[in-house]
Amino acid sequence: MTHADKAALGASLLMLVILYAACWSGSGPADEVTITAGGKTQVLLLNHDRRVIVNGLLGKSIIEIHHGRARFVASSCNGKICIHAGWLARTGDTAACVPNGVIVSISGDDSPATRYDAINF
Amino acid sequence: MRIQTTREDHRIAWLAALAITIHIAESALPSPLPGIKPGFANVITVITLLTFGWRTAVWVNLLRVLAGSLLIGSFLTPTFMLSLSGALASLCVLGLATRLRGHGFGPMGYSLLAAQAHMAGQFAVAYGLFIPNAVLFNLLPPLMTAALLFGLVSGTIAGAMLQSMTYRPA
Repeated sequence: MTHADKAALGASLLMLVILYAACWSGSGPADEVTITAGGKTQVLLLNHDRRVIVNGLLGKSIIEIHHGRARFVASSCNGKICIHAGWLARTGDTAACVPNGVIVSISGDDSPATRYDAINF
Repeated sequence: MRIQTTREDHRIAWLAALAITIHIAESALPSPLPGIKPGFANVITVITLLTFGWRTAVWVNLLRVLAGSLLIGSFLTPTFMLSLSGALASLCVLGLATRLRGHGFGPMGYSLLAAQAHMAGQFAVAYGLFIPNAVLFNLLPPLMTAALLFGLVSGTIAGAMLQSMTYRPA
């Protein structure tokens, strides 16, 4: 490996660490769920248990809201990856049925005050 | 009418055929996450870059993406868009990297840069065109980790191949 190679490797590792810190730091409690399907977006509160049926590109997708969490229970796709994503519970959690064009995303208060119980310096 | 072909045309065709074969063979492998693949066809790109220069590498890489997508049946699909954007990004970065003065990069460095540029270019297009949702960034760290690891693997392979290659034009 040349000097430039080692520099490239070092810079890559450093960039990787920064990426994890920036993208994978935790999230706050969940308040509401945003469901986007067929160009329309609806925002629902998570405190009311219900099932929501949305129409996507391929057909219907059914999203269940239960005990402050949300998930796909049925969808008109082949792979059912959206259903296998399971329960979405924290702010920022998202599942998508890409073939059907449906995105389900949890939003809430994501400030440090709600993310962490205590912060010490 | 007979098209006159030069020696360079033949060379590019041979290298592109090699890259296409690797690309298609590798497309049979399953991948743990959408977007993670070993990308061994990039070994050919890096070797071409080091042996014949950047312009030849551009031809080989773009021909590989085009012909590979035609043969696999993904031409002009979102997969093709991602593949093409990754290839263009990695070629731009490689072009800039060849201008580094001094000893410059070896196969390992070029492979690392190419793999990560490819992944970053693909991610940018995926975010801009297909899933413009901030949650996609959760995928970015594992994607870039895979790019780095597979870049190291490709670089090792390219280095080993270059050692045993006897043809080195001046």
